[in-house]
Amino acid sequence: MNPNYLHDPHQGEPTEHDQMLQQLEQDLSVFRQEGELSLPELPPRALRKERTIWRMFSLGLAGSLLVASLLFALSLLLDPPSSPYAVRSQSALMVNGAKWTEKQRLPFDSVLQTTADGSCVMTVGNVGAATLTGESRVQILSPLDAYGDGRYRLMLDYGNLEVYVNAPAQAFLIETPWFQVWDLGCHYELQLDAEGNGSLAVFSGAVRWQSQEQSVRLDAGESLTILAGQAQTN
Amino acid sequence: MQRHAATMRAYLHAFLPPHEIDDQLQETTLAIWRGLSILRTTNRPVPWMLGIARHRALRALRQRHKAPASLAEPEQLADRSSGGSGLTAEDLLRILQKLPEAYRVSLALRLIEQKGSEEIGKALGMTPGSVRVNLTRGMMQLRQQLLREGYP
Repeated sequence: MNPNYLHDPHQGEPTEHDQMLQQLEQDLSVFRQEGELSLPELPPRALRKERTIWRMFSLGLAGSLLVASLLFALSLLLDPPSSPYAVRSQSALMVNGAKWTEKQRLPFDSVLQTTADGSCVMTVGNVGAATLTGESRVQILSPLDAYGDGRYRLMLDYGNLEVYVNAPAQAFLIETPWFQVWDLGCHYELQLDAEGNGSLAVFSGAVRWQSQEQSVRLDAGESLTILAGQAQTN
Repeated sequence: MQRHAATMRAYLHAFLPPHEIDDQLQETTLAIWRGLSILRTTNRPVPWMLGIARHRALRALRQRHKAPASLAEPEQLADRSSGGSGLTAEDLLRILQKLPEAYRVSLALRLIEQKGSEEIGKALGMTPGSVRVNLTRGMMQLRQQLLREGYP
């Protein structure tokens, strides 16, 4: 046994090797705490528990806000931007075969139809506006550069479409089964029936009419007659 | 708080002269109050409190070394001499404070408050076996120092 090992005061008497230890205990006992000190007591446990609950609630709230912020940021990253086509005013408008009564954005690939006395004015992002009048049908196509620089597209099957574009050239493209109409910064009107007969009139700016065989540029004040999808240039 | 005041008081004796103990104990208590939120979450409150006491004691020692020598100390020394050796209790404490910290804090709790190795271990966050080793080695060094001083 280690002769210097200390005895435990709660485990029996000290050995003969602990004489100095006993003397030290006696001499240093003057520093021992006698009676109670005037120290403040800790708050009651109930109060501490209440504070703990409040702290947990605060932490939970902060955590929830953090998670919600992360989810929102993630949804912005993952979700594509919504369609830029918004109906400003309309009458007798049918979208995908159902009557359209709300002023809200039109989803891509939706088909718009107006009757003979109907009309629809829609804004196209910050590019311009398109007005559909009379018995017409158009389909909203997704942009050429998906979510890119705003080359918006409409497919005109038949009817009257008036277009205002206040953006750089070639920002807005009208397609038909026979040809395309590119804006060059302009205001124009395109009329077309189901057989590909119609006209194109330019009121301001310029427009490029283009099919697989032909390409015609029209400036303000000029117009073009279209027969069976072919431009009549004479 | 009262429950642990004696332990903190004895612990501070391992660092400071007796006349500074009560002030630093109050300072320690105040610091514990300020850190109540930590005290609520720790599962070892006594070692945490003693950690604050140690921090306070070391800071007081640093400030004392910067300040001019104090004249307050000697008044209580006269009537505390131990039987025969001529060493006062304050002298014994000063010799104890020359030991390495691990030894002197265990010995202070043992000799002043007469705590067992289990209690010391809980207070210091150590196992009872480690405490016994520190007590044994500390006592060996203290014994040598005291014998040189003619104690007892």
